[in-house]
Amino acid sequence: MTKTSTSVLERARAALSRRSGILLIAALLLLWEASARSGLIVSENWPPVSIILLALIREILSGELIEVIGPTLYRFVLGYVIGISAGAIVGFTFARVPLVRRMFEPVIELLRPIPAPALIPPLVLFLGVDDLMKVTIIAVTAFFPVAINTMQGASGVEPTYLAVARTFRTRATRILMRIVVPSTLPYVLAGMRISLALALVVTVVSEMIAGSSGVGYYLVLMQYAVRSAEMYAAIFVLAALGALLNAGFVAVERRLIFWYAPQA
Amino acid sequence: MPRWLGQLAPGALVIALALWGIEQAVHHGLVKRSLLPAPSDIGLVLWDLLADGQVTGPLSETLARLAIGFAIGATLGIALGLAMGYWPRLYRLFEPLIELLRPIPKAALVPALVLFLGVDNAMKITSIALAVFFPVVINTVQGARGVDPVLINTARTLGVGPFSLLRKVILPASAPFIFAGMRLSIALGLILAVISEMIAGTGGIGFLIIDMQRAFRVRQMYAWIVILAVVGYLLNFLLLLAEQRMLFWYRTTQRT
Amino acid sequence: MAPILELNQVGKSFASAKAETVALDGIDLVLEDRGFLAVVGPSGCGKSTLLQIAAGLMPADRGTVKLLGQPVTAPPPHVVYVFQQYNKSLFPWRTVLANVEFALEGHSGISRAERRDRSRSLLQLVDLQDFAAHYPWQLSGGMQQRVAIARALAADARVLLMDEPFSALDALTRLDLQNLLLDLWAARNLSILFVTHDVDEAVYLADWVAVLTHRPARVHEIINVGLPRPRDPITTREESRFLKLRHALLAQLMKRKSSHA
Repeated sequence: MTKTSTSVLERARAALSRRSGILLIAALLLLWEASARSGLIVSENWPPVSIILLALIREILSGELIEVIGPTLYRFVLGYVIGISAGAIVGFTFARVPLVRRMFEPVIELLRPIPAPALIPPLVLFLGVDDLMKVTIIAVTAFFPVAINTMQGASGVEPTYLAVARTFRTRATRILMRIVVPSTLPYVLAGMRISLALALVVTVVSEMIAGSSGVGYYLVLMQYAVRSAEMYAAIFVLAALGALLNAGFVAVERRLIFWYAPQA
Repeated sequence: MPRWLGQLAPGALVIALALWGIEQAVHHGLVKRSLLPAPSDIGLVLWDLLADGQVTGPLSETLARLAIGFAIGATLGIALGLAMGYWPRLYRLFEPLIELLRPIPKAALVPALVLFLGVDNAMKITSIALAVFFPVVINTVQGARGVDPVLINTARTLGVGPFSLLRKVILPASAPFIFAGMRLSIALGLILAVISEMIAGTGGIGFLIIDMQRAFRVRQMYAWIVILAVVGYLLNFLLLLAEQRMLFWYRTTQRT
Repeated sequence: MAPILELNQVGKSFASAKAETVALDGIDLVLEDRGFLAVVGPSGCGKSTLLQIAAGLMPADRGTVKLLGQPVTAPPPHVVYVFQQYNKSLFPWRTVLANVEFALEGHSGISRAERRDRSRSLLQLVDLQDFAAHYPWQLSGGMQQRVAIARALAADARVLLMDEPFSALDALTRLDLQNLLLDLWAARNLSILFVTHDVDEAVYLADWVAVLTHRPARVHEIINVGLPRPRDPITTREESRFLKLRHALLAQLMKRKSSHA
């Protein structure tokens, strides 16, 4: 009981210490609102914040938002999970089986520097403009950071840990599961975090370039239709989505590797 | 067999086999030429692009935007990051704003930026600078706040003022973090350069890739993707090289 | 002799989530000009805090610190702090020579060549002239701490505040550096406030030894060492007065500790 009450107190204190920052954000939003309303900037491209929020609420109530965000979320989650799983497996295999690494690392190094959006046009040829293409490109994007990080982590396990295990005559499979995997975990998660941001970008981009659903598509559509309030509302939604995903990720990370303090 | 050959041979063999396999598959009609031309055909187109200098125009267009955008984004990111790392008051002022704007996928801002800045360089450079700015500022803050107090106190007792302290102590001590941020940023910057050219473009490599696809000039499309991959590779390599030169002291001290 | 650094009723408290801990309580200390004052106390009693307050790196909550009669509020010139963590106080991206030069930068009126010359001669003083172009992390711990001392001298230090500077070194290197410090102290008219948990070291180096109590730290007593100078790393430690002082100090510190255990 006392623990929760102190953490609430601490959180309140933290919020208070960020007061100036919150005020800055409020001031900027006010400035936006005022500049749009006062006629200082008269433009269809610059709607007041309140109008954007109204548009957002309208779309939540009409159910259009769910319709728009649903496909985006579905593609993102599916592609991300496939990509990071493949990345972790490949990275781990590379680290533990040197021959496999020597055979396939150059291929990976060759493909990695290609900016993911550049792969969308050829993938469209193979897979069309629908979910399959998008999930694939998202998975490809999520794959590389996790693969590289996992490989680094799994090949750089602290030798002392392994020596300790060996003096206790621990079996090899146990060493793998109880020492190598957990000490690789922080690296896998670090890779996953990079992948998260990149994959979200690529999700939106793939929808902007090809297809007829999702937030990215909606964004471009609203721009063409000169409905800027809706366009900004979609950007707000994407920001919230990114923040939520990141917060969820941090929470999971804290649970999984609470013991890990990176050497500063 | 020398050691390096043993290290490199398996990889080279796999790549050669893969290329040969694709080549054969295309020649025997297993893969449609309109989807994936034979690697040798792509190679020929690539050779033409390089030989008659067609490559220079689009390449320099994309690179120039990336360079300017990166320079602006990274400079602002480092400057604000150092200031926020040093003055807690500035940190408290800007941290919530940065946290608020950071999760926006920067590509989503391209349509909005088009409305204000048109489809030309101003819009593209701004999107690149935005994408570059956030990883740099976040890493710089992390580095600057993490500088060992012993180092800062040493400088202070030696009579160093705040600006010298920032320049001579906090900047070099945060450099490893700054470089980590910049390496993330260069990849993001290139992505934004390509995207902005794809969405609203008349030139540059990104535009050409999507334009060639729409015109069904598939060999050209692949050739430009290869060129883009080389660009990505070289940029990362150059940054690593600079990092190794400037941070020669870092890895060794980490161990102690 | 005239006092150069005076701590008058200095107090410091730290607020944690639960309560306020008093770290220092009414500390009175005087460092005489060209004096050598050692401060010993159980670990965690706030010795480093005391030194940081004396250096102007941290404000005191109560009391005053005066340097040559002037109150200290920020790090004053001619007072240099030498840290225990030599590997953290030297700049890893600068060579040994450039680390020493750091202390001379930002002072207008010193040309680059002069800066270099002065730093070189100081490196010679600590016997590191051959390592000027090395980087700190290429040197042993003892050599690194010599660099830190040379850098302190480059800042034209009159007062050295030393925070367990030798406690991370091996035993023989420590003896070496203790003698180097005594030589420099005499040759360059330094005044030294030296914090340590090593009773041996305190008695061997200092004129006066101040004993601090456990939290909150108060000055329990100040002992006049009174051993003749120059001191010798071997024979001084065999003198009966040395042994007696060592005995008394150790007994006191251990008793204080056990009463808290």
